[in-house]
Amino acid sequence: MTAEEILYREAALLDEGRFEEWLELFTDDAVYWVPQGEGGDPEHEVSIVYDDRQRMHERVLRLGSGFAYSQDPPSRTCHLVGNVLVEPGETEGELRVSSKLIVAEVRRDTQNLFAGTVEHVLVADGEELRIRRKVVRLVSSDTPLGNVTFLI
Amino acid sequence: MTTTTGSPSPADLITDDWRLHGSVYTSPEIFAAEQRALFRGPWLYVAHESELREPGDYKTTYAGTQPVIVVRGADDGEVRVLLNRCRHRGAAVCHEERGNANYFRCPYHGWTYKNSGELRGITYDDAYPDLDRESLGLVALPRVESFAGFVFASFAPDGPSLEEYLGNAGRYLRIVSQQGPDGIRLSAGSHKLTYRGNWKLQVENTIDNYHFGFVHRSFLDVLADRIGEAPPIMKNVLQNPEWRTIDLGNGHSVHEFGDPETGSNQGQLGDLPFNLIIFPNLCFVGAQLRHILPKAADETEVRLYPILHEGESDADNAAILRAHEGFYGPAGMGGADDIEVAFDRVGDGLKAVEEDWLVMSRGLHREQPGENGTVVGRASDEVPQRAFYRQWKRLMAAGEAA
Repeated sequence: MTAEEILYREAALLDEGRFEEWLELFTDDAVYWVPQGEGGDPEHEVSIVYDDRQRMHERVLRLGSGFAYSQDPPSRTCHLVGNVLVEPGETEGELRVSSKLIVAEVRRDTQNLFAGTVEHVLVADGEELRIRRKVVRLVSSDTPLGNVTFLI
Repeated sequence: MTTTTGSPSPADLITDDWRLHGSVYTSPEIFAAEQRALFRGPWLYVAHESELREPGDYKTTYAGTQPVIVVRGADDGEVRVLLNRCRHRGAAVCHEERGNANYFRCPYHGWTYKNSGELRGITYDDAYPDLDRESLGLVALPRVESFAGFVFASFAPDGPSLEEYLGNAGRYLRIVSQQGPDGIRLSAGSHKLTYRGNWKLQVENTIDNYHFGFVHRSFLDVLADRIGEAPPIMKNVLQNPEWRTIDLGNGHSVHEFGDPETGSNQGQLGDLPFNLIIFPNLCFVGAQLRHILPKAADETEVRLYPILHEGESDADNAAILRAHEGFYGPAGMGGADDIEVAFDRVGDGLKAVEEDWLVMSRGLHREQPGENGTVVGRASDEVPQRAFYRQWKRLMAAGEAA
């Protein structure tokens, strides 16, 4: 898969609720980060999501538990990925991919819209590319949010 | 029984055997009465001193539904709470969440106020030959006091001091203020939540150990996966006599996990040694200060401020943030389930009004008198809810009489 294709694949897995397969796209040292507000520094500022691979696993476990009420019924989502730019990463074998994301999310008879800029750091793992870092900077991240427990 | 205006009297909305009427959560009239009786007299939390360290530091927040600026005066270092409303034609003079400013300038016609509230400048002022400028400063709440670093304000010019108002709860606020070796700070920003439901639902849910095993079952599954065995929370809730709920008086309440200095919720959701409710809308739970902002009978905003420890390493404070985010916030693996069940589904259900009474008597028969007029119950009892509504009823009845 090319860098661009892995973003589309990720979006499709999320929309289809195939979360275990989504998790497999990430490296063991991956970080999945959704900053809050300006959110430049997760060491000093609270984030909406700042997950290592263990917590990503926990989110997926929870979503499959049958008792995650905030996702019962689950959100129906449509991830649209665009404006993809692929650049060399900071280290050998890494790619830095920036993109724009729009997610329509439907739950409780209401459609919500989330949009933002996404950064993926991809790294070669044999023949495949894996995601080492995903950062979703929502344009609405400093506004009062409701339920964002689906995977964005 | 009804009053002459035809609306139910607050005293009739809570029965002696602790049935609570659903309109307490849904009625716009009751919401308006609460704003007069609960938010116009008692002390209201507005800020922590760590947010206002330097002269000119300010934050914007709400006193009840009213927007205010909490600001440390540039000249005198005094903390004031000013209504965020230009005296000319009413525009909010400050729209930033926090910052530092010597002046607030209204964007509408350029009226300018010192950060002490004093009206400093009127543009093209030859059109106002007789205006009494001294009376046209930003309106300041008449009383502002600080306790253990927590800043409160009151719309009432007279009344009990903050220390008297906090009463038995003061001890617990002091313990919160001593969580770090050199104190605490609220410098990590805040999670902001909004939900379509009454503000009191969030207060009541802050100490409700009864719900934990039900609403948070998926989080208990996560914990079991994390630690390799069943987490001890519910066993403690149901069996540990040292986990107890206490009505502290004046509407305040606490849930102790054993020793109030060293207890632990044992849930990896933040290390405060207890959950605490300061009437009417300030709570402490997990590792956070929770400020609940009523907007309408069916609309609430909640701000969650993680409490960082002064004198501890960046890594330790980052660990506090990660534990907080794991459970709380819009994407948290626990708090969002409270929004879904304890607020949204309660809202769905409360629309069935044919039989509108709720049951809030859990553990009433086993409440015990404690020290200093407190009332003590078991961990899963509805002692905190009754503590809240005892004060609610008192103030609403007094407001009705006024």
